Amino acid sequence: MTTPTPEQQKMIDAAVKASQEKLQPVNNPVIVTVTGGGKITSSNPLFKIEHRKD
Amino acid sequence: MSLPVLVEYILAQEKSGGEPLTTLSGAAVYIQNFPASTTSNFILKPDDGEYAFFLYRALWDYANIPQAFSVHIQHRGVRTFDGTIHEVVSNFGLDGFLVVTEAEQFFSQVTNRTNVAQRISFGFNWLTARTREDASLVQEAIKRYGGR
Repeated sequence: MTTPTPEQQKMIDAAVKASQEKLQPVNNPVIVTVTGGGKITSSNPLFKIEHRKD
Repeated sequence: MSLPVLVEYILAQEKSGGEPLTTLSGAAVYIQNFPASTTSNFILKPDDGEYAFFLYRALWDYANIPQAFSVHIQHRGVRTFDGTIHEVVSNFGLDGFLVVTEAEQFFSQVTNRTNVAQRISFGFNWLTARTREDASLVQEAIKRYGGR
């Protein structure tokens, strides 16, 4: 395995930095399926309540 | 006191016009991927046009992973259930109705204790009283029957 030259290392570092800057925190919603009556709510903003009436 | 028998008794009660005093209702909640090491509160309350729920059963799906979830249930500031789910649980030890209204909502706190996302499902059964007067009549019927 060869060691990158200083120029190559600089390019690698720049690429890593650029990709890290694009990283977003993972906030996938959690789907909560509710059937039936009443109102159900969640305190956690990640939890998305879906009332199914079918 | 057998609660289901009391439920049937209340369901058979009619208002002066012959309308049923209550209707049987319930809800089921299903979460495919409850995130790891996460807690969420769930609040249940009557829908628009309903005054009170007389909740008599809360239960877990048999397919929930044993020991994966801890649950804390509180109503009117009183802890009614606190524990880890390890088997099919129904009623949570309820030996009477929990009266759930807009002002006194049913509070539950669910925690996934494991480090992987888990499925969970649970449900509730209750009798719905549409008005405050209906709810008073239900409470009278419960007392008449000797329940609470």
